[in-house]
Formats: sequence, C-alpha cells, structure tokens
Amino acid sequence: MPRSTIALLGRRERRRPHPIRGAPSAALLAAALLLSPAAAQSGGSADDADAASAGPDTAIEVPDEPLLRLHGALMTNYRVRWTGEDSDQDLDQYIRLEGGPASGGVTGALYLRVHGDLDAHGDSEGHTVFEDLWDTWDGRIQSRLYYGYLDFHRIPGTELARVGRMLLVETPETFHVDGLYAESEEIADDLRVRFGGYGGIPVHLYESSASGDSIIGAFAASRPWSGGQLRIDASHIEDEAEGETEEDDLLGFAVEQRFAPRLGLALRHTRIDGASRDIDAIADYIEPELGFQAQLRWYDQPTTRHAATPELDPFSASLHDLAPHQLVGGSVHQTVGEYVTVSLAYDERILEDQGDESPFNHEYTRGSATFAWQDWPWEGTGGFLTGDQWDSTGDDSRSLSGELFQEFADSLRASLGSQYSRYEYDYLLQEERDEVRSVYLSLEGPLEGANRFRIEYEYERDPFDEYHVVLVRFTHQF
Amino acid sequence: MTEARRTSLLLCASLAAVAAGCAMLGVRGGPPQGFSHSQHFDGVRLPCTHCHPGAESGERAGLPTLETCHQCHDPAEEEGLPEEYRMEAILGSAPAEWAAHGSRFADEVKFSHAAHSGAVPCETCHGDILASSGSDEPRRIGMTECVACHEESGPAPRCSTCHSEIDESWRPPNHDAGWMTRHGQVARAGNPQEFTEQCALCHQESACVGCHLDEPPRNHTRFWRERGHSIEARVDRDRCSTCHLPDSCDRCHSEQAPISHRGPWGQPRNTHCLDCHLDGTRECQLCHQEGAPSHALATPLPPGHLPSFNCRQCHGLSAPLPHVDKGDDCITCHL
Repeated sequence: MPRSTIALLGRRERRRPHPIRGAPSAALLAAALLLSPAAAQSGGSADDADAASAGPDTAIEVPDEPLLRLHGALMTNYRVRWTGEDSDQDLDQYIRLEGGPASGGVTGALYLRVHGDLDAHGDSEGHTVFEDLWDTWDGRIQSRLYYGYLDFHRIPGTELARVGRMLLVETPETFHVDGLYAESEEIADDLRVRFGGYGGIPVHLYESSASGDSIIGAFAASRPWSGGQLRIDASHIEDEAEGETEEDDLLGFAVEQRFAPRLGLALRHTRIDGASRDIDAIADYIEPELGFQAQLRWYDQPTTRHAATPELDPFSASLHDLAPHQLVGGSVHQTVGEYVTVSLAYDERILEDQGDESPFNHEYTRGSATFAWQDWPWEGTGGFLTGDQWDSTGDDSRSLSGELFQEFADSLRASLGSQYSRYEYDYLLQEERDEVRSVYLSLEGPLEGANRFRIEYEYERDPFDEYHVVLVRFTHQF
Repeated sequence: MTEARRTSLLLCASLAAVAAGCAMLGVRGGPPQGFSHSQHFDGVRLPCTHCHPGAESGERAGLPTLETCHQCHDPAEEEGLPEEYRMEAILGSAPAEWAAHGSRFADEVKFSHAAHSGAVPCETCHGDILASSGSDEPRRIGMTECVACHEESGPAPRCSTCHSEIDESWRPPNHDAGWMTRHGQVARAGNPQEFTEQCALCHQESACVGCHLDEPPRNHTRFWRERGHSIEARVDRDRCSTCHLPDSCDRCHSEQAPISHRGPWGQPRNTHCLDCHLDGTRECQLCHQEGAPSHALATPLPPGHLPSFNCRQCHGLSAPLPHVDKGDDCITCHL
C-alpha cells in the first residue's frame, strides 16, 4: 500500500528546527494574543516588514521574545448547495494552532474542525442528494480533532516525546493514535542509531466506539553511511468490532539510499502475522536546476490482503480481499523553456492469477498527462490541462480538467476551471456510462491585516440533475 | 504474467539501473578545476582573508581579483597554459551569484561573516575546503544547515533572522502550475540537501492534513460521492489510502444504504446487489443491521415484506431464500 504523502512530510518536520508549537486551548490563544501582539504575526508580519525595510546590511537582531509564541489560523467556511427543491447549507470552523512557551522545552499543535449542518431539506425519509459522511451522525454539530499534541524536547536522552492525538507517519502504515510517542537521540556516532516507541488507542474518526482498540509499536532507525537510512518497525494492533477482538502484527523493513543529491532508491518490505505482505521499490531522480524529475516504482503484493484490523487494511470490509498482484509504473516531469512544464505518468497493475479478476480485483493500465504553464502570455497568467485515462476490465474512467488563472499584486488570484469525467462500468453485463461536467470560478485574496478570503462558485451537471455550490471562506492568520 | 508485461518490468528495472549508474559515476560534466584551495592553504599558508578580505570582518567574504592573484603570481607563469587554466578564466568561472552578490546568498539574506566568524569555525559552513584540490566547496551550505545551527545555538531561526524580504506568497521555483500533480513524489524523495524540496520549512503539518484528510480534490463531485468513487475504489483502492484512513468506507456503507439504493432498487431480485454483496459472511448486515433479530427490525425491509410476516413460511430450509446469498448465512443465525 502506498505510503501517504503526509508520512514523509512529517518525518521531515521532526528533523527541521522544531517550530515552536502551540498549547491546544482557546485560553492559551487568548493569552498569547494579549501577551504578544507583535509575535502574533507570522512570516510576512510586522517585525518582518521592519526587517525588510532595514535592508541586507542590517546586523542580525534578536527580537524580544514574548512569553508565549503561538501561530495559527481560524478559518470559517460557509457552503450552500442546491438543485431543484433540494438544498443544503453547512458552516465549518477550523482552528489551527502551533506554538508554545518562548522559553522552549514544550511545544504543541492542534488542528480541529467543527461542522455545523445549518439546514438540510430532503425527501420524506429525510434523505437529500447532498447526504455525506457528516449526515451519518444524529447531531447537526459535529467535530473532528485531526491532531492535538504536546511535544517535550528536553527530556534527557530523547529527541522528542509526544503526547496527545497524532499521526504516526514514519511507520510502514500511517497510524492515527491517541497516545504516546517517544524517540531517542541518535546514539553510536558511527551508526547514528535512534530508537523509538509508541502506544495508544487508534483514532477512528468514523467509528462510534474505540473500546477494545489498541496499538503498540517500536522502531529502530539508523543512518550508518552517507545518504543511507535503515529502519525496522514492529507494531501490534488490536481492534474490537462486533464483539470480537481482531489482532495483527506488522513488521516493516526499509532501506533508503540517496546517491549524490539527485538519485534516490528506496526498498520497503512488510510482513503481517509472519507472512510476507508487500515489497515496494521506488527509484526517483530529481534535478531541480534542469526542472527534471522522474520516478519508477515496482510494487509486489504476493499474498491475498485481508488484514484483521482496519489500520492495515481499511478497505476490505467494503471491497473484500485484494488478490495478489504487482504494480509497475513511472512518471516523468520536465520544465520546457521558461514557462511550460509537462508531466507524464503510467501505471499498470498485473494480477498474479488472472482468474482473480472480479469486481474488486482488476488489472488495469492508467496513463495521465499534464501540461502547465505560468507567466505567459502575461506575468501572473497561468494554467494547466490534465488528462487521465484508466482502463480495466469492465470499469473504466476518463477525465480531463483544466484551469486558467491570473495572479494579481497582493496575492489576489482569480481562476476559472472545468472538470470532465466519464465513467464506464459494467454492473453484471449491463454496460453503463455516466458523464459529469463541472465548471468553477473562484477568487481569493488578502483582506486587511492578516486576513484572507475566498469565494467560489461551482456548477455540476451529471446524468441526473444540475447542482450549484457556493463557497465563502474567511481566514484569519495570527 | 504475459511476455509484454515481463518486458515492461525489465524495461523499468533497466532504466532504474542506468539512472543509478549515472548518478554513482557522477556523470555531471563541468569545467576543469584550475585552482586548488589546499595548495594555497597547506602549501603557501595564505590566510583566508588574503583572497577573501571580508571573511572575518565583513558582511560578505568577497572574491579575489586578478590583482590579488598577481601579488604572488607573475602573469608570465600562464604562458602556454590552456585558456581555462588561466587566472582570469578561473576567476571568471565563479558562480553568477558570487559575482552578483559577493556570496552565494541573495542580497536579501542577512548573512554576516563578521557575526559568524568568531563563534563558528570555518569548516562548520565550508566543510573541508582547505583540503580541497578544487575551487568549489566540498560542502555547499544551504538553508537546512543554517536553520539546524540556529536551532542549536541561536538566535532562534525565525524567518526574519536571516531574511530581509519576506513574502508569504513567495514560492520556490518548482512550485509551478503543475506542482500539485507531482508534489508527492518530491515529498517522498526525502532529499534534505535541496531546500526547495523541504516542505516542512514553510508548511506546517496542517497543510498536509488540510488537503489529505479534509479537503476533497476537484473530481470528488456530488456524482463522485454517489457513484464515481465506487468505480475507482474497485479498480485501485490503494489510491484512496493517500487520504482516507480507516473507517471512512464503513461509516457510510454500514450505517446507511448507498444513496442509489432508493425506490425500486431491490425489486424483485436486483442483480446489482451481487456486484457488491458477494461475500456471504457478514454481507447481510449491510442492509439488515447488526442485532436485528428478525426482518421486523431489519432496515430496509425487502419490498413487499411486512413486519408481521413469518419468515419461515417462505424461507424455510426446503424453500430457498430468494436472496442474493441464497440465504445460507441468514439461516445460520435465524433458525
């Protein structure tokens, strides 16, 4: 299973200087605003502007440190959707906080979404064409805490100790956990080894009860030679569902090597409950100065995938077992001249046994191409056109989308885009075809202070009806 | 596996091997190195400031001029040397940013040699340059190293510590209009030496979570939610896992019937059911929720069924259940 993008980003984030993160409470937020109006400005802020006016000859100055440094954003999102006599209005509030005491030692971060269903008009059974995941709960106000944790940086022998809700992103699979995480400092200068462990209750944002669920794991990672990384992971997961407790043991091995700064090779292997689960090999080559980027990938799943716990196989409950298969693919990206970039990608999945072909186990080929340009014919003008073709047995899809945008001074941006998708599928020899078109127009830009806005209208037409969506977003950064 | 597929696998492996070989052998090209730092430091014992006058007391270290070289070298020494090995050519081959800014840093970077030279050993930033037989540094310092050192020793690495021009809307050169389609590959590559690839220097964790866990992509239209997603998930579920963690499928598929399952969907024996409900082990529960002791509490009731009906009257062991799973699993529980 592919590692998610956030996994790698998170790994990087811990290596970077810890960006003074915030205590997760509104009270702390209020206190910070009172204590440090200057510090409440992030990059591009008042003190930064002062620094900018001073020019490059200015000596390095250390700004006065407030007691508490908090950065973050409050984002309010209003969305109204309508078609015929059916409509739906939602209001979402996002809170993002990062920071901590200026004295260091402890930082934190929080990301919370509160969703309010302002009104929903459906049929006599309460159904509306705009039903989504939020409507599977009874209440009209729901919330999701994506993460909220405190980091302790000065515990002897540890690089990081974290408590709270977090995404564990270096593990072979991304784990979303309420619990503890600790990572040692690098030891053994020649091998540069670090150890870590974690444990807690897996977060299931859409499951009503976490009773009986648990996860515990440990890892060892080393950077024994230049550009090389080794990592071994072991995790034990328990999940209680329908009165039964399921268990899985996951072992992960990873070797990554970067040759010079341009070429990277990664080989990852996982085992579940003692059996081989998958092998993933990726080679990437990135040449920023030439605007060139390429990747090749080979993935092998030698055994049928049906993990007992959803962490290791979130889709089997709905999509059944995933048959043994291989995946080969590659992508290449090249900047052409000063303004244009072209990207091409191709993937092919090959079932080990073609007799496994079924509604949930397909062989497929997928190709995509993207053509993008920027600052042509005028400065700030750009756009992209991207096409995607996916062929499998019985279920095919095509899509074509494009956007034209203009960026003005002061980060004002206007864009006009369109998306077309065609789905061809076969519900038991009933060949069907659906086409969907959407057009959107959006305008986003700055308001006074550290505020931003976004207004967007989207029109969608599918085989059944026409739909309209208006989105209004206000963001305050601090 | 077919022959064509074997060939494509072999082709991919070959390309990877060639790329690896090129990188390992350093097929990069470049001009000849006519200047040796080690020869001037170890051999002649010149201090750094002889050629770089601002290295200890100035904002910028500065570059030597032709006159600096001529203080020791007689121009006549160069007679007969190839053009690229002459002093003027070597000085002229300095990177453009050196010529423009007196340093590799842009003008807006508030770096001061004077502020660092007393506290930071030269090799911290310049590596083993004094032992280098070339003119270029064996280690090229960038934002990553600056930030790491400031984190350790201070001053705190705020943007304004080093940058005098801070523009929140500034983007690295590779963040062009097609960036969104390929940013994942760069993030996965994990190259810490290229600051343009270091997402975390500018983006907080919420930037990932906001898009990957919360904001659906453009193609996730209303139609997508109703029908499109099932087609793509059936073809390649692993793409879903880029954003979707456990439970998102179960929540909709077990707590409520799909939106399409309305009106006459199930009449009389709709073969569409078989397309999804093949398993026969727990599949009844997709419609007949867990714990329902009889069809009286099952939702939705099959068409034409009333709560008062006696199930066994029609669905006895001798009368096969007219249902997609032949009734085998129901009989296990509902005898």
